[in-house]
Amino acid sequence: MEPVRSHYVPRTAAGRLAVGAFLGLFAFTQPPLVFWLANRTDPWIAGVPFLYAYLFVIYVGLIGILLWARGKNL
Amino acid sequence: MEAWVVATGLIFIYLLATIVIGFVANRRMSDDLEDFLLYGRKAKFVVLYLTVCATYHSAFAFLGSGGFFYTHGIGFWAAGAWTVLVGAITYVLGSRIWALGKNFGYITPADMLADFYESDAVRVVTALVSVLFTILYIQVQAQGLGYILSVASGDRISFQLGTLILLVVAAGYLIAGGLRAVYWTDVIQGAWMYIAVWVGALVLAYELFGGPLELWKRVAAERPDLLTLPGPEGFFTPGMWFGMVIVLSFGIVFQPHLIIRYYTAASAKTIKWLGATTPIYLMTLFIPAALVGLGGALVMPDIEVADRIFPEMLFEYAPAWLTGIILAGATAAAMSTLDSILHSNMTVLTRDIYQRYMVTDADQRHYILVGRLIVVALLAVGYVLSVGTFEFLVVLVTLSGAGALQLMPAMLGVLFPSRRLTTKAGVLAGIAASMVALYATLVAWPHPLGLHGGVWGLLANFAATILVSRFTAPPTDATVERIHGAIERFVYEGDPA
Repeated sequence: MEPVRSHYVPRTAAGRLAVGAFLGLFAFTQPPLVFWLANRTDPWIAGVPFLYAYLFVIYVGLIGILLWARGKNL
Repeated sequence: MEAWVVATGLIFIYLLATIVIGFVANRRMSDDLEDFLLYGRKAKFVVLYLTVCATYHSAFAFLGSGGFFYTHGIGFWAAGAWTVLVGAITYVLGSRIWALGKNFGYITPADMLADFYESDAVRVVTALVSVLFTILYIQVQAQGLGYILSVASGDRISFQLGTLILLVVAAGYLIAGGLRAVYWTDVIQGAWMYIAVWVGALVLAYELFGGPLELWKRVAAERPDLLTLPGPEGFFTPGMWFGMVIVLSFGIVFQPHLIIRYYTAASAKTIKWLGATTPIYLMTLFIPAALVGLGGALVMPDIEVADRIFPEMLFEYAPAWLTGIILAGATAAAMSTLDSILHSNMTVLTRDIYQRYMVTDADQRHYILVGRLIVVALLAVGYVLSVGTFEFLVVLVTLSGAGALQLMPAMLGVLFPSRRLTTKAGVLAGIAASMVALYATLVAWPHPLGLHGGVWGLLANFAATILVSRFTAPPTDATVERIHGAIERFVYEGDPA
């Protein structure tokens, strides 16, 4: 039998871009980055404290990557 | 008319609607087991979207999340991370699970794992892990329901009676209409609960503070400790943050009721759209929850049970009709998860245990009847568990998610082809190691070194799985080629069947 190639690394450039962008951005929602970069209230953004706005923007970005991946039919 | 009458009346009108839907679904049902258990594998996007969202978000999202913001502050906004991750997991793993289900006729998670690992032991262990840990989830939802009805009626309906009424209704429409009834009621429940949380939170924010932005300013002025990590009680340490994100994403997705939903999709495109868009619903539901919890911390700082903050605020500050509509939404949140868990446990016990090992050659109607009887038994177990003990909702959800999370190495071994194969001995050793680790790090010494016990369990699991797999026999070449070949064709050639 010919072994199936590993699926842990995407084979297409678009696939690598989507996975890399998602994981890279997701890292900003996790320790230690979220504690180092965003654990504060100032500056307030659009009337909400910084930590809340920071996470919201990243969450929207992550959803955007998923929608982009779907649009590319990945 | 008194507020409790309006609130309780609206909840009962809502319950009546679900019963009617259950009977309509019953009339559309055939005597086919796959129709009863899997909606005939033809769920389209809108139905699947709302059932997945309504199932994922439960009494916990409606009551527990407000309580969590109330007690621990903005740290609970980590919830956005785990809900976005659920979307990505659905996109990548859910579509592969769907493809294998379509190819090989799988109905339960154990079907898939037992087929690949060629092991009845893997089937039984998977079924047991699936059922044992999700029974805890039945308890969470049933307790949430009892709470809601008790609060709505001003304690005129006892917690125990409220739990019983709502369990019986959920089990009733499941017995009548199978997964079709669950999906149809979930559509209403998913829409209702989303609108209810938003409307309730905004009404309270404007009524009490003059709007959401004013609310944030007041929190900063009066309770700044709620706006930074790790929160007033030091809960959201880096280890807990990371652990909750892993446990409440992978740990929920690997529960049987969500895997079964992936099997039921009409197409791969449906699943991928689901993955890309469910985080919109799942994540944004926590925005109003933050308003409720943080606002509640200002106006009702001494509430006894934090999980009750939303209904207590509604009764105090919102009109009765609105309170009723919103509490019916809370009921929807809990019932949509409860019915799905009852269904998945019934499916696992019927398919993986009864049909496999007890009565193997009966007709389809026999298995449907047995499934219905199992729902009655689960209802009884769920009721006893619910009224016997009470714990803080999120702790139970986390314990439940931590259990299902332990299927992760076995799942990855099936769904991600690689040169190093996972073996059945590796899977069994990994799950055994993880159960020991879970007991040690969730019960005996909770969350050592500040890292969530579920993650300790997963680390022990991966270590044992990888180590034992290196020295034991992998699945046969024919099985690996059949199943990993199907994944390869699905992912890179777009061939689902």
